[in-house]
Amino acid sequence: MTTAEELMTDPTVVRWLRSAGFSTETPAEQLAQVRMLANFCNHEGKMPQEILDTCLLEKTDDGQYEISIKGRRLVNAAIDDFAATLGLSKHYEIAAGNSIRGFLVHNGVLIQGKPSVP
Amino acid sequence: MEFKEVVGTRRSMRFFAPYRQVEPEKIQVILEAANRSSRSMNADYVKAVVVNRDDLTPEMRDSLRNPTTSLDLDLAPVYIMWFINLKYADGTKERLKEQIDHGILAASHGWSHAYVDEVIQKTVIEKITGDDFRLNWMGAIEAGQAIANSLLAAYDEGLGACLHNFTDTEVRKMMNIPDHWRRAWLMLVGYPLGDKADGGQRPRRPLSENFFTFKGDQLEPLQEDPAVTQYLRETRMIQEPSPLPYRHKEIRGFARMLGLPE
Repeated sequence: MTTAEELMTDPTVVRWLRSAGFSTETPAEQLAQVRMLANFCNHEGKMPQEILDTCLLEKTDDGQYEISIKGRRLVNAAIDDFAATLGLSKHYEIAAGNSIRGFLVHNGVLIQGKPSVP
Repeated sequence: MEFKEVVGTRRSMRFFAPYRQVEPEKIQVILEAANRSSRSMNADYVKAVVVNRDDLTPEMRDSLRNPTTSLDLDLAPVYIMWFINLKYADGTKERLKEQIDHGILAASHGWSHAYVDEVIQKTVIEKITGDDFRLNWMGAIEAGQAIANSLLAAYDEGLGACLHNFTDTEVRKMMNIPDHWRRAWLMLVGYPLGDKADGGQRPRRPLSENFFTFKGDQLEPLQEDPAVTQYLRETRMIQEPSPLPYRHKEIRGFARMLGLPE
């Protein structure tokens, strides 16, 4: 089990918050962003780096990764499954899932979620 | 809109108003612009299939997705699937003779029915159709011209558009797309979610990096005339560059409206 407070110093989370521009928000706002990720990590029984490792294949000598198509697909589906358990209205369910995708995006995983379209 | 402004306003737009349909007459304008494109041998290099997003089943829409073309499929209300027609050389002789009869190709430039009837098959047509690289190279260039025209027409109609790669394996079967139609681009069309500035004109390198004149015995980078550059600003071929001051907040606003990652 992990908490949003613990994840605030996780390098992958710090990178996400900085890259997305959340690091200039209030601490409470940042925690709110991270809380959804923490809940997803607990749902999956993984830490943020482990979730990234599912999507990225081993770093090569030149410092480059490859995306794991299969891993990304698995994580994408896991995000949808998790979001569906939250009991939110459709818009907020989609936004919750895409908030977690934002963590992946800002750590180098190109992933696109579905939008909430009226 | 004047031509220069159309050229300057074209962007690769990625944020469409998903709830606003495109009028069919505007799609006709876009297709006619493609139909009027420059093309060698007066051949038909492109085929296009227009699809309204909401006419596709979820399975058909999902079959088009790939990692970089997914969200856009949910936002754009119209898809134009462009294909390169690899049988573009069919009918070349008839079209060329028609052009001779119309005074488009003239004897002053060496054209005659005799050349078309008796010489061109082995000298030109089979050189193209018998060489896979040449067949595809020429098809891609000429199809590209048609697609470029259609992009400009979309912006002239007040729409936005963007070209994407797409996965066509399933849709080919479902739509009975012939084998000789080679996938080119998926053009997504719709109204901008924001304004037509879409964050500002995209960065480009100075003309001198890519365009040259031949002087004496060497290439010299083209030197821009500041007065011409100013004229192009006034006529809106050159516009306010990206990022506009509000762009990042605008994108955040789009993301929050649509529940997307920020």
